Amino acid sequence: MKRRDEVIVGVFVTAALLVGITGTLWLARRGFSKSYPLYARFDWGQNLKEGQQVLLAGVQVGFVDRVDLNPNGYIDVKMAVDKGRRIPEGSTVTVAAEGFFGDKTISITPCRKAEPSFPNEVIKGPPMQTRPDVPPPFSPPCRPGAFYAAGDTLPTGLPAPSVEAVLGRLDTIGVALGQIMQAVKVELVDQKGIQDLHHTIQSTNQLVLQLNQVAQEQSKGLTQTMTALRRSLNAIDSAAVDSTVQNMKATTEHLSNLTANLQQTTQKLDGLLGKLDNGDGTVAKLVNDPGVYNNLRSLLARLDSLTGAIKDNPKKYLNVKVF
Amino acid sequence: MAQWAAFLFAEIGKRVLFVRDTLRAFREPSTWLPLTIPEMRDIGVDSMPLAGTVAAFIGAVTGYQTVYQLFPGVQLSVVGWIVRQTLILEIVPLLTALALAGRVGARMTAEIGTMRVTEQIDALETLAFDPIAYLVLPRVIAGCLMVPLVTILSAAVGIVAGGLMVVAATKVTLHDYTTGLRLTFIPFQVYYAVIKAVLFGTAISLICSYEGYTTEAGAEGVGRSTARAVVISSVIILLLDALTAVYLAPQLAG
Repeated sequence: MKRRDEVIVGVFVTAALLVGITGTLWLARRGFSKSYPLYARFDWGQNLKEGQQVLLAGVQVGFVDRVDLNPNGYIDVKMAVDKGRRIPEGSTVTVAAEGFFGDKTISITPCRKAEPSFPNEVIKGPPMQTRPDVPPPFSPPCRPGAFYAAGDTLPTGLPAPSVEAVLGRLDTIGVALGQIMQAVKVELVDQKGIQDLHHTIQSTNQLVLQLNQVAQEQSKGLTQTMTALRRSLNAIDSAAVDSTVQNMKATTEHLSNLTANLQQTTQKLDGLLGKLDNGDGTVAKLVNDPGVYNNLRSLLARLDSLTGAIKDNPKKYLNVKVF
Repeated sequence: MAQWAAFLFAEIGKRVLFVRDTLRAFREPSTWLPLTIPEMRDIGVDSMPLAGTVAAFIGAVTGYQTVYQLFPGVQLSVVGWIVRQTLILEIVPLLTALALAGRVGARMTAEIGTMRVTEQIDALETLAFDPIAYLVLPRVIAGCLMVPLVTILSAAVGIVAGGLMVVAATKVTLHDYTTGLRLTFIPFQVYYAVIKAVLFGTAISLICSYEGYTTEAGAEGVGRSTARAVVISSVIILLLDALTAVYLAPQLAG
């Protein structure tokens, strides 16, 4: 029994110690991951504590390992960065707020890329400066392939705006809002602008009512037109339309035949004209032969002389006897 | 008033002398050493089911409640952070100590008190045994050593139970939970819990042993001593909890 107690107690104590030590290390060292030290220096009053996150471009790469108060107005911070995470040389550190509870993280801002990582990558330049009174964020270009080594001290970037600065900005906004509200009050209340506005709204309402009436009338007219159109369409006799279409089809066919006949006639005329041109046949000879023409003219001359002779002496040629 | 003050100081004096006698009993290891292991089993191993169950439920409920107290926009890793801080720094050491005051302390007082009223302690003295080395010191050592270990294991059980609960029943992911567990963690938080547990364990064993050792008036006196031991040890545990918070919590700020 005594031996059994010893074994059980021994197992229990060992298990408890193992759980306590490994659990503490797991929580403190983020899962037993190996790390290397980097250092940073900040002004006093940053509310940094051991165990806070260290983020590189928003991704946790380590934690705050130690915070030492430097009597010269600084705090020296030792960061434990995961072995597999390399910090590009030129990156800067700032203390950033995390969440709603005022917790802080150390934010490492990567340097600007100097060369693209892949084809067609657009490299962003320094952020556009919108306010001349605020210095641009310090973001030096990267040196390709250069990373901070264990024990290096990272340069400090521009800190996030302090609560006082934010409150000051809020105060300014509040003053501006107050001035705007005062101007609005003067315009709307003191100078009776609100009454004008009221009238305008009433006029607008009336206009909207009138427009509604017009739209209703137009709608009625449109409805009537549509009804008449429907009625006309219904009145069309589809049989008559069919017969018309048939007649048109027949006419078209007749026109086709006529065209064919005209073509044939044209061909025949072409042939006839060809013969006329060639001088084949009687007509062609009549047309083309100058001898015939001359004979015809002499014939006509003779006929004229004959006609003249007849006129002059008809009895010579016309001897009509009755009985 | 003077009588009341005399009574108060006498009670304090008796207890201080009892502690002195207990420390003196270290000179007799042959008496207390063999009895320490069974007491360690009783106080530590046998208490683990009770302490573990309490811690598991507290961890699960704390995690679940925390999720539904967060207002929109709060990062969910806060759940792991709150569970860790609540369990390790306060709830587990305190509730484990209170549970052990009821389970172990009451038994301790009853055992020693029964030996007192049945004159077994007088018999030990007659046999030249130091009754404090025989009855009290093994319990004090066991309480001082085992309560912290029970606390550590219970905290682990509570944290795991809290994680299982929130991951299974809420939108918190395991990654959120573990991120929160590690957020601003410093080993001193564990040392803080262990320091409290050592104080609580020592207080339970000393108070309950003293009440049993000074039991009078037969079986009725045993009952009265047992009840008084549980009440006093519970109050002292709460007082020590407040004192440790006052003196040690500032160091948790890092």
